[in-house]
Amino acid sequence: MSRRKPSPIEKSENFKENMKKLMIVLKEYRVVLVIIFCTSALATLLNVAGPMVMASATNEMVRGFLAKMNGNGPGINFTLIIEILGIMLILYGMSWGVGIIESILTAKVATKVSFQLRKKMIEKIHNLPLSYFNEQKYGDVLSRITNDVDVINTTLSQTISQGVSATVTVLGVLVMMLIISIRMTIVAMIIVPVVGIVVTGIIKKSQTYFTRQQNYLGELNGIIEEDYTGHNIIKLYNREESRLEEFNETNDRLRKTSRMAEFISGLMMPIMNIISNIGYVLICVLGVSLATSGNLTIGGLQAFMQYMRRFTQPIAQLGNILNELQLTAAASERIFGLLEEGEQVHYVTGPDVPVDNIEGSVDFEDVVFGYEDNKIVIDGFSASVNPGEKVAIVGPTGAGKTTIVKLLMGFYELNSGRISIDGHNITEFSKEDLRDEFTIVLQDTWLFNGTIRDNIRYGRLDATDEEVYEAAKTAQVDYFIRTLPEGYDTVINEEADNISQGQKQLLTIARAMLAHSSILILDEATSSVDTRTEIRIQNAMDKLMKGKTCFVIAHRLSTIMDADLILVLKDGNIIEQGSHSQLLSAGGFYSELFYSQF
Amino acid sequence: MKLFFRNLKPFAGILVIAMIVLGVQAYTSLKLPDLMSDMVNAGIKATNSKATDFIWGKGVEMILVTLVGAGAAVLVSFIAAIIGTGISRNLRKEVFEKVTSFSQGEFNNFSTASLITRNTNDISQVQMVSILGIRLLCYSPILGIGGIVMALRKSTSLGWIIAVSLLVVFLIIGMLFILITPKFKRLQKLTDKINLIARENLTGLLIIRAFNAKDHELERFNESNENLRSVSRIIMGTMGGLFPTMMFVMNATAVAILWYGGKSIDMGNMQVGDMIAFIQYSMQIIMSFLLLTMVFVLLPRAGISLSRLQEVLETPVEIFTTDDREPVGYTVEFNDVCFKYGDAEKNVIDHITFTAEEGKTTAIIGSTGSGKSTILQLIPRLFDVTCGNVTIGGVDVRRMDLKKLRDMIGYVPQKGMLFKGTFASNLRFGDPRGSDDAVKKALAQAQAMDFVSENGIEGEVSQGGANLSGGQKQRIAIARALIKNAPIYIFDDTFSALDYKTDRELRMALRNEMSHATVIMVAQRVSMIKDADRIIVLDNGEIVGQGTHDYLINNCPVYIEIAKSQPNMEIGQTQENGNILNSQADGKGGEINEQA
Repeated sequence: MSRRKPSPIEKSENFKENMKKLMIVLKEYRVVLVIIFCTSALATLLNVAGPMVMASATNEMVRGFLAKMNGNGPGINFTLIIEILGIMLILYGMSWGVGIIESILTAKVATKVSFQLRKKMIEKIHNLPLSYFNEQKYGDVLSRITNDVDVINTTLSQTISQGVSATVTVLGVLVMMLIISIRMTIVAMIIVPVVGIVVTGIIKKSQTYFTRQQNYLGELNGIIEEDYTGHNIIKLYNREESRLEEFNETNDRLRKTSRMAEFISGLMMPIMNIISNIGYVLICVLGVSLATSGNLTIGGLQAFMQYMRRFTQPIAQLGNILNELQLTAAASERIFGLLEEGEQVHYVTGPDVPVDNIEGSVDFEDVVFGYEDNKIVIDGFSASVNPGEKVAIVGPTGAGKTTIVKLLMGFYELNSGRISIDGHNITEFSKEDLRDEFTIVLQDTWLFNGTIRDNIRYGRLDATDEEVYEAAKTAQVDYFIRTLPEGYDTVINEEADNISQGQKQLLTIARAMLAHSSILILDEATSSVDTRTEIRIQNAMDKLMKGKTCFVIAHRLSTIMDADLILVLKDGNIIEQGSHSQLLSAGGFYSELFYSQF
Repeated sequence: MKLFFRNLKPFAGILVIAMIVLGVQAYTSLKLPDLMSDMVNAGIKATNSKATDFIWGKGVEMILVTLVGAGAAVLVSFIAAIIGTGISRNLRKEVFEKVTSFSQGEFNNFSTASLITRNTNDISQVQMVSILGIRLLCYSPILGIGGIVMALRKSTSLGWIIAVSLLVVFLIIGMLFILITPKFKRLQKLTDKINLIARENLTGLLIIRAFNAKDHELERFNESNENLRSVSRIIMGTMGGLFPTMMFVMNATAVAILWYGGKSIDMGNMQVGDMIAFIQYSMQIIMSFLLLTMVFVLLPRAGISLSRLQEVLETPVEIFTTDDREPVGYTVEFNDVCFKYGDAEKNVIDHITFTAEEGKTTAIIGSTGSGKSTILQLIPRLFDVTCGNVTIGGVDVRRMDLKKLRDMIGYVPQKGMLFKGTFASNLRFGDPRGSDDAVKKALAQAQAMDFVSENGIEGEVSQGGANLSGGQKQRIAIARALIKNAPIYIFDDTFSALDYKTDRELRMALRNEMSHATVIMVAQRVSMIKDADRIIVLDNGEIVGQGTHDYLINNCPVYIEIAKSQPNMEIGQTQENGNILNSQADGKGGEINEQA
């Protein structure tokens, strides 16, 4: 029933190693796991023993029946039957109880392990250097936290106990069969390799189709996503029909492949049935003739029949389980791949520099940095900033403006050079203390799925409601918030598309208002706010900047004309620096940039 | 469900075949215990070689029956695959076609992300359940009922045992269903929540670190994580306990049959073989009803998916062709136009009246949210007006053929939305038959040749143009409109991502190209629209000024405010401004002098 389709996740390269890593996590639960193993085995054994006991009941009935028919001896001995049936009920009842215990324990361990893996991964995410996320897609990291953990969860909750019980069943049944009749067991064994070959063959075949199906599905999703996001353009250019054609083509291909995949995986059951039934018939014929010749009891035959039925299914199941373990290994590879990434190191061994009374002077000395070693983005950057100064960083896109502020906040490690605050290298501060010294407002407005109140309070988690309202007022967003049906308790939805980009930026400014820090970073903080509103919040911005060392990155040069120092960046180098009027009269790149605004 | 049956209809014939084959399959698997019971009965009584022949005969019969059954099963699984994948293919197509016909308004109602999920995941869900449904939903009742008939033929006196155990099975499943269903819903919600928080943590990593809010986020995540753990533990424990419980019910049934069967045998009312067969039948019956109930557990999920699809398919399309009038000329006029979204209280634009003449450039300026883009979207009918009308060449756009209307407009959106393919394939959106030379010419006019020429016009463009910068995307989008050679051009803040230099060169090139066209453009920067023939100033959805730059700069307070907010517009004659104007005149003459 819980037939899981072989998923398209790539098979693990290094099965053993990845499973070993999973085992290390499971070590903590070894006692419970051993109990689970034992209970699973016990429950299975009790079930396996059932038919054997049932056989003696049947035998007694046959004996009594024949005796009565032939008139020689007593009929069925019901005291004996009651005894036998009582034993059976006890066996089955125990098997039931043990099974329940097993499933409770399994659920406990599996959910606990998943919980811990998720917890570890989210913690890891917060400790990884930002550079890790330059190469990873968010979707991929997310899928490790959710899908891959789910795979582990399934393995722990189903695959393990299934594996144990399938193995025990096969072995137990085999022993029972041997006890009943060696000759018949040999005939039954012929089936095993046949089942094995067929099962692995079908799994392999269907998996290629499932993988292909997954690829086409991905392709189709791509088309749907692209066309839905660009639907206005498709309409405006009257391209509906040609896009539909493309869609239909992929859709048809997908259908053919998934039909094949479904068909082949649907073959499994009937083919298994044929094999097991042929075996069954052979056993029947052989068994009955053995019974007639007196070499087998009828009860024995009946028990053998039941065992035969239970023999082929677990063998097929084992094939499936091996396949699932492959998926587990792949999932654990991805999970541990994330967990084993190198963390951001805090490599100063001495005590952290205390952060009381930081004034906010900042020095960059020969800073060299590249996201990848061979691609230098910042090449020999030096600048000196006094406390309370307003520094503007300008330059064309891709010049490395944002990189500089990220370096300042210690998000990346320098290739060489030194950045210091109040004369202390930033590496001498603890990361937490360092970040407390900064407030940032970015172009990319990040708000979370919570109330507006909570989003503003993010600037300082212990801020009172009054402080939140005050910050919103200063950022000129209080009025807007109050026009919303639920005011400050309005929940910003998942895609945060219930408020405009400009208003979001004002909210992030309000959020920044709450933070107390000595250095302020504004990275295109008002780029989505129209110029009139920008003037209106100028006061707020002035207030925000007051007494702080400020780094301002802006596209609109109007916002930075009054900066104490303007750094003109091009290709990672400072090509000019000075005040607005100095730079203009120098007639260099800055003046060119500035004049081209007209 | 209605939707499902409508989609099932084309497969009705094949489905009937499947039902017949399923009947055969069920019959064969029921016949087997019967044959076996014959064999056992014969085996017990007979001891001569005649019996062996009889047994062999029965054996051959059994194998034949098995083969027929397996053949039927293969056929059923083939038919199930055909129907299941067929339904999902048709549904996908139907939904895709419908969504393609949606206008922006309907898109906003559903949200793009939700429409994508509906067209993909929801349909996969339906496919899975329909395949499973055909295999099990039809098969189980046939097998179950057939099993009952066969069992009763063996013995009617033991029938009540099957009834009792079925009752127990139904009770257990029913209780489970009532207990677990709400938990499943909660599980889904919690999983979504975990996903959401993890996604937020990833996208906001920089801010979270900057605000030192790591612990706060971890707390938030782990609260949901803990909830997820406890809920899934309950579900897993209960579901896990189901299997041993069912095994026990089946085994207890067998014990009961043995006891009462033994008594019947003792009284001579029953044969041993029949009793063994009866046990097998009852196992089969319980199993089949068990499977059936499990399918019913799955059904609600598919039902939810279906209703989500239905919602899409039943949404009426608001914008379509009703008439086919030919315009005379290409002057665009707005006559007292209002527009609001759905049931919103406030109009986005309010009583807008203006004329954009042929061969002239009309510019629209205003603050964020003042309704600029909305005005543009009303022209090609991405939305329809709420009141008033928009006309082209004297004809209301709603009375024109939608295709022809859109063919006459070269529209460049704010985000230069591009499609996966090449530069050329993107440009051929504008003109499917455009030659390579035409493509190159349009690219050159859009100032895009410098970055295109690296790989030529067959250079690759990834989905959404992700491999290009914002400014490059905008230029490709402009070229896509230019190649169309349309009589009307609409630019929705198209130059915002361009640096000032490129912007200027581009506008120079465009001016020549579009001297005869009706041009309507939205802009943020006053410097961009200074030379427009007419400027419309919007504030909160209303026109607060209309005229040339020179007129507005002296008479329109909002326009003056906008201009003032942008540096160095020559209103306040500061020292610095003076400097700039001088150096401009010295340095790079041309366009600026011409405008000033």
